[in-house]
Amino acid sequence: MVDDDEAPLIYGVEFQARALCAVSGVPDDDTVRFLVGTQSIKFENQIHFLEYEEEAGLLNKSIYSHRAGEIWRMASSPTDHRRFATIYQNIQDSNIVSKCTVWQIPFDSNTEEGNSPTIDASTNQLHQPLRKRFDLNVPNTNIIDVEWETNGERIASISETNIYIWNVEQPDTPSISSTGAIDSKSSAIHKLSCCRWNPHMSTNQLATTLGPHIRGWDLRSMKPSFSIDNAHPPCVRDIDYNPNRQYHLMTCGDDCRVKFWDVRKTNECLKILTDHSHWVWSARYNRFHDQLIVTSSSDTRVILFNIASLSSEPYGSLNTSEDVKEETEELVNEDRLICVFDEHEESVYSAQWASNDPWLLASLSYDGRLILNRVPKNEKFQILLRCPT
Amino acid sequence: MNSSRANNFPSTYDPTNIDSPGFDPETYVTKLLRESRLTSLIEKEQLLTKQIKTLDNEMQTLVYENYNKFISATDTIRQMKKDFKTMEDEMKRLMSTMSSVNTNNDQIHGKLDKSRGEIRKLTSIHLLLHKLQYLFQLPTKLKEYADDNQYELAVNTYTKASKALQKYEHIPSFNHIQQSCTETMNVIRDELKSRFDQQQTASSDTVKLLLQLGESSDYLAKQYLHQNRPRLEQLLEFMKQQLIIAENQSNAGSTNPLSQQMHPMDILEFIDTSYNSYIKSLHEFVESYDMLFIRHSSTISSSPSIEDETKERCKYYLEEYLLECYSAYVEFIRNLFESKFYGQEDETELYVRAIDRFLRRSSNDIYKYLFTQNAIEKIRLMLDSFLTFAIECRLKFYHANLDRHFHEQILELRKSLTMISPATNEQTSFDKQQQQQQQTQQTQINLTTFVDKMLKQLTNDIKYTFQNLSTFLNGTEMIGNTGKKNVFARQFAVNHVWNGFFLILLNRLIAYFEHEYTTASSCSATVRHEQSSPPILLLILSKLILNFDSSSIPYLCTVFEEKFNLIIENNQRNESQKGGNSLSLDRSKLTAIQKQFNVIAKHLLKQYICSQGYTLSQMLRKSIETRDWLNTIEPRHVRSVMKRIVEDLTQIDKQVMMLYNDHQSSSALGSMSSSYGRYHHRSNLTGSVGGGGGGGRSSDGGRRTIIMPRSSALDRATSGGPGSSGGSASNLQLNFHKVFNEKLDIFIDLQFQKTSILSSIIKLLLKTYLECIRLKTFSRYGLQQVQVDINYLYNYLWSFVNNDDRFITNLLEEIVSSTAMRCLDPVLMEASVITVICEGN
Repeated sequence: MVDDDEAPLIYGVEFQARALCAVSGVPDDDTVRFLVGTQSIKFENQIHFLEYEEEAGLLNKSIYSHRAGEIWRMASSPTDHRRFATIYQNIQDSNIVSKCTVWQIPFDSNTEEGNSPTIDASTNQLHQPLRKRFDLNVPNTNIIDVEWETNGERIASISETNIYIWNVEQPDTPSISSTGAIDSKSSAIHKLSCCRWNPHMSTNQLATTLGPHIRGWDLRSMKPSFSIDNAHPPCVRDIDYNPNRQYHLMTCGDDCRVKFWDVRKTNECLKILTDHSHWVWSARYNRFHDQLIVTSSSDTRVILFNIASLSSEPYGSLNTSEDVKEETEELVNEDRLICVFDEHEESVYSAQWASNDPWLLASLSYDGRLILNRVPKNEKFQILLRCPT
Repeated sequence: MNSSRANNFPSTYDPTNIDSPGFDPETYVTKLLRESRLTSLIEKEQLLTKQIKTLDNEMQTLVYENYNKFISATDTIRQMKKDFKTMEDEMKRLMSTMSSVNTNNDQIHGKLDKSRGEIRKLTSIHLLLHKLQYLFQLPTKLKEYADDNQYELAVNTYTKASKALQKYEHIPSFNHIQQSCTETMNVIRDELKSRFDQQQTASSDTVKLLLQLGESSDYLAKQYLHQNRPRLEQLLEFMKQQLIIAENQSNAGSTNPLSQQMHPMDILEFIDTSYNSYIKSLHEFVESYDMLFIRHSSTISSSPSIEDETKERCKYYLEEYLLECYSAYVEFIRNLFESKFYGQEDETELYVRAIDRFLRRSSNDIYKYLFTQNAIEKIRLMLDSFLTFAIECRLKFYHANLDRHFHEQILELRKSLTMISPATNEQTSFDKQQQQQQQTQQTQINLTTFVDKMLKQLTNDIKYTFQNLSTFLNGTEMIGNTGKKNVFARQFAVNHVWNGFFLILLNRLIAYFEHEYTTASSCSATVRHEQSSPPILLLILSKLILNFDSSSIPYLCTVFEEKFNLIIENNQRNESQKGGNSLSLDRSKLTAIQKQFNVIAKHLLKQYICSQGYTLSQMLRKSIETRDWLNTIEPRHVRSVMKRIVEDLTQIDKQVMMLYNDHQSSSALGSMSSSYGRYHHRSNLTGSVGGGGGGGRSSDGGRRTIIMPRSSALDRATSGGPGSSGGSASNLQLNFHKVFNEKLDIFIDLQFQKTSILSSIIKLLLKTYLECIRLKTFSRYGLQQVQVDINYLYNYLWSFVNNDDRFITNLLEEIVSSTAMRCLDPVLMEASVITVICEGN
């Protein structure tokens, strides 16, 4: 059953796009915000700052121009909703240069958003430029990925071979607090491509992908803490830590699979999902209910799973009677595919949960189509009430 | 008067008739007066007077006579009275004499009686004295006997005397005798008992004596049974030893030819000998027990109910004992059937006969000695369970056999594949083309023969097993104990052959394939080496499964139906109508399994596609990722990796073609191709290019459409700088074509056809191409190189997928468009130049 409010909300970005991130850092606000960055070689790239008004079902947009280059990845600051980092490429002397900069949206979007459509309608050029806060670049290296620490004090960025941890506690004066490098033997074959903070262990751990492998780093010593070899041959695309179970993480990659791991036992994985028929580009835990998992793939599909068996939430409820509980357990115990969102026509490179609404998720396909979907109602109620519908 | 009467009316009440009762003299007279004449009246008067006179006379004589008689009678009575009086007197005299005789007689009797009583007393005293003497001698006698070890005599004499002794026990002297007797007897009893207890094998005589001595039969029976156990166990032990020896010999037999000289008995013989020795001795023993405890009548008088009770108890002990012995024996026989040597007996007939022999003999024999229904029931149950056990053993054996064969075959297959595959995979240079050709030829032959061979072997194995199992039903009478042959046959066929063997085998096959070759089971926790099984093996196996499912299973079903006289029904409903005992079998389980087979075959095929697609994609991916697309020279050649890909695809095509061809669906494809009229003309070329293989690869570029980026993409890439407002419009246009193109799904309706398989591989490959391109940035020449490559691919790819190349065109266009979008300076190459370059290679 699909209610009206469960129908997806579609938003089109006029350029091709890969970068999508949920905006967090506004604690007292339940407006859902997303950032989309475009990827275009020819045109001036844009940042779309989207605000979803749930009651009206409207998506308010503000567009800012990102003149530095085509955006590959974005990361929003966990403490300041106006700040975010982008990874962008441009061409210098017929070489691709990949950089990272932290930007700030130039004004409080709440007060001025009414203006942006008019600016938008008149000319494309008049998008307001972003205010650059600071660069996170290291000379002669291409920055591949960037990630904020959950408390916003540090930023991790990686190049193909190195890891840089920036201290950004002082406003606008970042400094490298530590660096790490993969050993030359493996760097000859594989490159780092993705990094992710471990939200647990006082955020002293960072997981990175290295070709088909996964490497975990202890940030105090900048030494590898764990490694998962050949997790997804030939290439791992994304990692996500379970927000509530500190040793569990989820990876996905070009073998069309999503795998679940316990980092204490890296020689075998806990579970494999094989529902995608092409490369899986992103896999994300829901921050509120970690049995909910969304994956996106270049087979144009976004899939929502309920992996209750690896969830931190207990099966069944304490206040239900025995027989009901048993039924519930049967139902909840079962890991299952909840639904496939197949509204995309192109490869979906990113799917993200909203930062402050546990039931809303956004996915962005290469053709610039952003789709906001909701967790189906009965699933939601099942999780909330812990009883079968 | 008579005459008148005769003349007159015969009427009785004629008042005129003188003789009639109604005679009325007045009317008569008047009538006479009136009718007759005078003369006749006178005559009449005379006549009447005369008649009256005679009548009067007659009456007078009669009265006289009677009077006389009366007078004489009174005279006689008077005389009689006189006579009786004299008789009475005489009788009185007789009575008095008789009473005097009586008194005399009594007197004599009284005198004689005294002496007679004395005589009687004297004789009885004499007898008693005799007995007493015997009794007084008894203790010494018994002692003598005891000393002479003539226990039997002693017991007999004692039992005779004991009654009397018991009776007069209250008299001190007798009591003394009894005590001394019992003492001696106790000695004897103890002696006997100790003998009995000590003896390894109790003699029945001793037991008999002890029984006579009144030893409790309970104890004796138990003891007797107990003492016989070791003997039986010994026998069993001996047989076990033999079994072990046989087993060892069979183990050593392969290495040591000498041991074959003393060839161990076959299973039938073994059963026979063991049965003879064990059961026979058991039965002998039972016979003696029976004599001792059950059939004999107890000498010690006790109420019949108690005796019956003890007998019942003895029976019960015996039964218990028999049951134990039998279960031990059956256990042994079980071991025998389970044992490596005998259980692995190849000759099913021998095996079956052995089972049969055992069951028949034991069922014949055992009923003789069992008394209660309960025990018989138990034994029957034991035998029945043994039968099922033996059958299960056999099934296990067949399972193991089949498994072994199958694994051997797979190993063999793997081995032969590894011999082939390196040769075929390591071809890079063109010089080896010829050789490669030969190799592929060889592979082709092998692939089909591999499948056929394995299929044949597997089918034959199963068929052979069916055949063997059917011997269980033929020519054996072991069903004697079950009674109803039909019921057994049906149960056997359904439970054991069908469910226990065939379905389980199929399930095991499924599980095997699932476990070994597919990663579909997502619960698999361990990371497996996914490349462990070579792709060709997957392909072959998938075909094997498919063929097994489509041809072997129906064939085996008919074999099964023939052998076991059952009909495999399609639906449950029919069966229920016919009733449980009908000769039909439900097919639904099989259908489910067949479905699973199909799924597994598809899984394997998917696996094959993935692994082949993966290797190809890896090649392509490396070639794209390692190249610096921004700084490349103007393209003059097709990149060699493309050629390599086409070569590999050709080879895969050949592999797949050998096992899966499109014949069965050519009609469907034909209709499809006609609907895409745009490419229809190309179908003519399929034969020449596809059939010609690697050598015949000539470019048909001249007549081909050249793949160009979609105009919208190009517009967008070329038209204007940041100032242009065409952005969103072109975006719309860019996406417009997608509305009409179906989404790419690599495994959508994968069919067991070459085209379907190949297109899936190609889809995988091109999708990878597309994704890799999107991660790169291109210069003008980079774009052109991609154009060249794409068109080169285009020239060949369609031939692999028959006519349905719509998706290839789409994907290739998509790739070129994406490249153009990612290009800094999108200047396209001339179509003619592309053609030239493609043909030039």
